[in-house]
Amino acid sequence: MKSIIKILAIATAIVPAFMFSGCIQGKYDTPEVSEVPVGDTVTITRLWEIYDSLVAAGGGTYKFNEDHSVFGYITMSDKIGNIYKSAYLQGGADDDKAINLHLLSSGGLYEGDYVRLNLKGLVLGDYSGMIQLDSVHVDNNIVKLETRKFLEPELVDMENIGTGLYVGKLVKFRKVQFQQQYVGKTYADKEGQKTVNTYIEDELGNTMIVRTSGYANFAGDTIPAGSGSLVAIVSRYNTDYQLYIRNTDEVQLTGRRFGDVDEIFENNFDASPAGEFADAGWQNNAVQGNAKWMCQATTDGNILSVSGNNAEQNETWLITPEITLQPNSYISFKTRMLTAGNTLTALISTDGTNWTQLPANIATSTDWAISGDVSLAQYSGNIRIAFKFESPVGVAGKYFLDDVKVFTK
Amino acid sequence: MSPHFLISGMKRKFLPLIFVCLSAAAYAQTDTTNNNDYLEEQAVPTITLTESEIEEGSQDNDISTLLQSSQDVYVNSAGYTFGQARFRFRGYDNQNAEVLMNGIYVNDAENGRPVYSNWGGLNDVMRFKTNTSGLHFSDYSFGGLSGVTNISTRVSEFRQGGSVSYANSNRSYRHRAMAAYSTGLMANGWAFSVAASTRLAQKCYIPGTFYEGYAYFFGAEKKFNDHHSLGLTVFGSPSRSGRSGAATAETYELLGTNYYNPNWGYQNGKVRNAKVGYYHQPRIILSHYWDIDNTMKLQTSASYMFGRGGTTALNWYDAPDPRPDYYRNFPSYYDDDENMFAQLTNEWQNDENKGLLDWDHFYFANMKNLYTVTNVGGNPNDSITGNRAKYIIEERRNDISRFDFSSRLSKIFTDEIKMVAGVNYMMNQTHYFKVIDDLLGADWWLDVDQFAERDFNDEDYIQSDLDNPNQVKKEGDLFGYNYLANIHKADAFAEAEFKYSKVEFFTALKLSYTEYWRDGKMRNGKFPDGSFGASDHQRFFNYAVKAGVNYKITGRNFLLANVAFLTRAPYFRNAYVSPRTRDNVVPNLKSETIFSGDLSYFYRSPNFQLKITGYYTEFRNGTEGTSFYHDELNTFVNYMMTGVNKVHYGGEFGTEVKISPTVTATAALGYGRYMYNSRPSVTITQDNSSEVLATDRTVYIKNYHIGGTPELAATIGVKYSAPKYWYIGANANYFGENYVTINPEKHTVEALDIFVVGDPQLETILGQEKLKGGFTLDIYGGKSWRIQHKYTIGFTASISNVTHNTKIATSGFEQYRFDKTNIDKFPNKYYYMYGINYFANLYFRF
Repeated sequence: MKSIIKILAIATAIVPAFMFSGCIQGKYDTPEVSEVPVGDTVTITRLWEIYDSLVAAGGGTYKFNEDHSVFGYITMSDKIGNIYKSAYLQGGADDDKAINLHLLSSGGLYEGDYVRLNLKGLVLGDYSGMIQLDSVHVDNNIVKLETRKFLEPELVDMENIGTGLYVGKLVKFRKVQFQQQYVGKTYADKEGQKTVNTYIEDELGNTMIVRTSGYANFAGDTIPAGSGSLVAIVSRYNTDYQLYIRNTDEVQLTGRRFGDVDEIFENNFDASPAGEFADAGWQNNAVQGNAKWMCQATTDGNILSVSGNNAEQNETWLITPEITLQPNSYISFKTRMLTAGNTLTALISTDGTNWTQLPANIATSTDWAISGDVSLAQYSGNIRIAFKFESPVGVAGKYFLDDVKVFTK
Repeated sequence: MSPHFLISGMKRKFLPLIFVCLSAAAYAQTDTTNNNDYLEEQAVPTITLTESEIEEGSQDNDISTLLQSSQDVYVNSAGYTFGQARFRFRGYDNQNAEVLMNGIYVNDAENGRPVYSNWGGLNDVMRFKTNTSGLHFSDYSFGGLSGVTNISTRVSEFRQGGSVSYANSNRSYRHRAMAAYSTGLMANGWAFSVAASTRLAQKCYIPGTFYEGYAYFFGAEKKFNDHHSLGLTVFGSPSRSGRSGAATAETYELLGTNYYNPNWGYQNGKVRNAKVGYYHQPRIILSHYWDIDNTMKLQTSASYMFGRGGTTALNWYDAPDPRPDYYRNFPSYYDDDENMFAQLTNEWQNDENKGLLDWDHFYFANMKNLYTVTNVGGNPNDSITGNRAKYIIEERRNDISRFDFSSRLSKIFTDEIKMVAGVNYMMNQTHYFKVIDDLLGADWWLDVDQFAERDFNDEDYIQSDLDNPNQVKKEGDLFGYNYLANIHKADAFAEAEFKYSKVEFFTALKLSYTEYWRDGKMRNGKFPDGSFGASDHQRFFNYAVKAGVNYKITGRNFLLANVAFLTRAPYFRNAYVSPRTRDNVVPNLKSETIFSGDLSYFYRSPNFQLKITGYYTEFRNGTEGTSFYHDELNTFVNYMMTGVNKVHYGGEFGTEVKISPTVTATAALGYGRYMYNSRPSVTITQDNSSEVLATDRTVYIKNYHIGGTPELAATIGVKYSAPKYWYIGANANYFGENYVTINPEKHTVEALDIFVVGDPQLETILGQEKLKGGFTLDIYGGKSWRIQHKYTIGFTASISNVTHNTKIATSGFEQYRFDKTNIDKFPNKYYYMYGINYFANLYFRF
């Protein structure tokens, strides 16, 4: 019994020791967190003005030493790896400009963040032709005000990118496709983690660089073949404008590829014998003078040509065989011209008698000119196409014709 | 198949080896008073032998009793004096040291290592140990290669009385208070014992570390009659401690100290450590002691152990690496940028916050990181907006639930013949998961995998929990991974010991069955098919045989020899390539084969004893695994090596001379070679991708040192024991031949493919760095007084490394990151031995 009492006595002495449990490692106080100062508001437009004056003065940088704040939307972050330690900030409707942010470390910003950026300590400058705010510390310089405020991309035609007005901005091209040589390849070299430049084109033949990092999470995805819309950030590298895709959901190239056609009728004359052109079904009528369409060989295959005679008035009609149109058919061909003064006209007839001129693009120089895809949608049934060559007296010019094609797309 | 047959077969196979190897066996029943806490907490030594009381040996003619009472000088030195240098007995991994408690196997179920901290602070009641070192016969089990220790908690055998003590130290903790009381066996057949302690430090030896430990023990035993007693033991040792980390030579040079710790910083001006271990795994043991007759005893124990284990760590999302020792924070990273080099050098040398964690910044960043999660829980209409955590403290938990059973029968047939046989069963389930420990001011953490996010354009892929995607996690929430490690193990052993006047010998056999499997509780988006549910079961059948002989040349000269041959199932911890995320096992998973032998010469006279031992051990077809955080991949990368052969051989020497009745001199020396002996295959995987970084790559490490322990350790000591209850002693020690542990990736053809023959860089890459060794001096002493013949009051004190030698690296390792294009980018990291440190203890016994 005495022993039991001793045990109890010791237990009593021990219990207080346990009551100090946690005295070494208590819960830590939350440190007082400082606010990022606001200062005067500066627009991105104003940053561009400073930038333009720097560029005009031959370069240099501008460092902000005071608290100033810029407000804007993050349109692209380095989250998916296509850009690194970098983000694009675009102003709202009343501050329609954008700028690249160069971050001290990657991560922490997301598309759709509406942020306030304190400029103190940041350096405005030019990075190989791109306007940039350098040394942005995501924690110390940026306050996120709202999330998921996704800016709508601005619709733009490719030829207008060259104005420089879209640099840094989020844009959308309505109808573009990757050039044929990139179709089926990957956006970048994921294995080797190398950046790759590819090109997109529009229907007018304008092209632009699409630059993709080997670290982008879609670097190993296959470039789609079709045409359609594409959303990207416009960046600049020296004199080149280049596009950064944000994610492949914004590459909606599912439409039919332009240039892809179902041929109804085609003659590229490569199978035609040299000499006076006389393929079956074709008419080669010298209505005035003696000029006939001739087939001649070139290194790129056979083509047709017709030459005016200096001494006489020439009018020669080259008429296709009868072609049965399908709804929404097009015609295309290409032409080339030597010596101005002659005319070549493309015409269409549904009855072989009444001819209507087609709005095709005809060569005005020695360069091959593409007619464009001339719509025949208003015609149906059987038609013939005529190429009417006219050469006045005193002109000895020449027209070339090739790749006549009627098709749907 | 009889044990004899096995042994003779094995002897034929290894006959040449037996001539090479010499051996030691020591057997010591010690009532140890452990004041060696700093070792115990680091879980370093193979055997927890401590300061020994010099006892007069009995003059019994029984050889093993002679050895038992003789206090093997070498073994004591290895366990105590050499511990400060992280010396490992014969270079073995700690998993070769078996620890039992009332016969119950208490080593960790998954990696086989003893976890001394489970009973840390209970020194007074855990000191009744029986140690067998090496391959010698043990009364308790077949044993491990480096021996077996049985701790008895049979309270009826505890001396009646109590004690209180207070200790002060500058090692792992500052203060320790302990109290214990035992009733002894009372007239009513009951015996009780209680103990409790606390160990505390605001700051330990290494900056940023702290310690807070408590412990409790309750033991009761009822003796029903001369045959039956039943005992119950309940104990636990909850502790929380701030951890330290290794650092590169550059760090130590910049800071001018070898005790840099990258794990801490100031929060609100208060020291805070990011790596905090918090363990509380109590154990309950019920034991039945049955003395069947004078010659036969049956001891049966059942045990249940449970509780939490966990270590916290920083985690971060989409933010710069916050670790102050991140390699890009060092001048060396800017070798070609003079300005940065100078700036960083200046910062490291002069800015006292450089090299520390910036807690205040974590809060600042976390409290303004507005974010919207959409598709929460897979519901497209559900979204949450708040401050998403960039930095958190997570706790990586390993909670245990474990049942053990052990029954051991011992029978003395004649004076010459004794047999011990037993069965053991273990059923362990460890629950692995992570919880958010502290959001550091943020509102929540989003449970997705950031590396996968960068690399794959797929929302499913990044989910930790595919069945509950895009979950926001708050403090206390489980996240990241969640699985159970199920391990069942059963074994049976039998030993027979034969003692004759000139010769003694024993044989032992053990058969065991191991079965384990992973049971995933979270379907990982990257491994939807391999992460959820129970995996295939891995099953292993193993056997072990050993035998030994003690031969008495004369009454003072003995020859001792032991051999063992065993197979061992791979440990769970090494079996799975990435258990956090999937259930794939290491290719060619199979049991390891081990041969070990030792041979000793032992001389003993009243005033002089000496023992010389040689040993040789071969491990074949081992499986080893390591995981580390790869900052570029943002994930854990796992190196799994198979076909690892190792060889350990060396000699041990210990001697003790009684110069006078009061002065004793001792000397001990251990010198060995611990080498890889094959070209293993390495498979490298990452937690967050099914992409295997390397499969079965040959690792050219044959004849490289295993490292992690000094291969040479020596001590010379002298002790004066005054007749008036005081003593003082000193030891001069030398530690050397310690090598860094290697990164297997560096030793592959693939790692070297860009170098031309003769490139001096090759030597740098392939060379294995030898760590700096050195001398230390320890002194110790104590005095006690008897009061009224009833009480004892006394103190002991020890001062280690008196000469303050801070240049001895206790361990070093090649970083697991390797960049062949810049071989200096990830230099070796080191831990250093403490400089001068002390431990003083004041006690009162009644």
